[in-house]
Amino acid sequence: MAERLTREQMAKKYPNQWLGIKNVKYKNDDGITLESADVVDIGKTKEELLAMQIAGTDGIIGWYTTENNLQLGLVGVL
Amino acid sequence: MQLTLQLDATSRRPVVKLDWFNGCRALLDTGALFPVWTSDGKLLQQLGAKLEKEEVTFGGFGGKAKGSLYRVDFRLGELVFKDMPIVATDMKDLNCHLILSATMFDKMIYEIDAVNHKLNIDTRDNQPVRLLKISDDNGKISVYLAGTYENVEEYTQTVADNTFIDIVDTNGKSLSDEDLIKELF
Repeated sequence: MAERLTREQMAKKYPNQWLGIKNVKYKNDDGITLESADVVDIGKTKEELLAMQIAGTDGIIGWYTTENNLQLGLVGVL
Repeated sequence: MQLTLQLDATSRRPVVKLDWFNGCRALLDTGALFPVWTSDGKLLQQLGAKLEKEEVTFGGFGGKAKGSLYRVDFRLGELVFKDMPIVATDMKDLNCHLILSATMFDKMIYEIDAVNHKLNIDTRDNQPVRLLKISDDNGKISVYLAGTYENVEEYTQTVADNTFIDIVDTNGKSLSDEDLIKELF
C-alpha cells in the first residue's frame, strides 16, 4: 500500500536506500525538486527501479533518499 | 545561443532532470573530464546507446573503477551531443543517473545560479550541435570539443565528408577515433 511521504520523511524513514515512488509533487511545480510522493516500492535496487522507470511501469520512478555522498571528479587513466 | 535549465532546489549539488531521457537525473560535475552513466550499461543501451569497449579503467577522487565505454546521442535542453562518448560504471549511492562533465561545456559560458536554482548556458554561437571526441593527455583520457554545427543535418554531412577525423594527442600523433581506442585500451 502506498505511503505518502515528504522528501525529508523519506530520508528519515528509509535512509541511504532507493525507493520506488509515484504521483510526485514538485516544489513550485518546477518539475525537478521533489516535495512529496507516494512510496510504492521498498527494497528494489537502483537498476530494477530504473528499468521500471525506462519502461514506464505504473509511472514509478527511482529515488535515492539521502543526499549524494560520493566524492566525484572522474578522469580516465590507462 | 542561451538556455536555462531548472536545478533541483533541495540538492546540495547541481542536478537537472532530463524529461526526454525518461526522467533521468543528471549531476553537473565541474571536476569531471568524462560523462558517466552511473548505472547498468544495458539500461543505457535501452536508451539508444551503443557499446564501444568493455572493461575500461577509470580513476578519480572516488578511486579507481571499471566501466564500459558507450556512444549515445544526448540532449541537454536545446543542445545536442551527437555520438557522445560516455562511460557506464555502477554508483549505487548517488541520486542521479548521469554525470555531466565540465568538458561537455567547452567553449561555453555556464553558470550555476545557486540562488535561483538555475543552470544558465551560453554557447556564444548559434551552434547547438556539439561533437565530443576522446583525447589522450599522457595516459589520461577525456573528451574535448571537436566540432560545432548549426543542426544535425550539417553534422551528418560533415561527418560523412570526413570519415576519419583526426585526433591529435599531446605527443603530436594524429589518430582516428578507432585507432585511439585501440591504443588506449
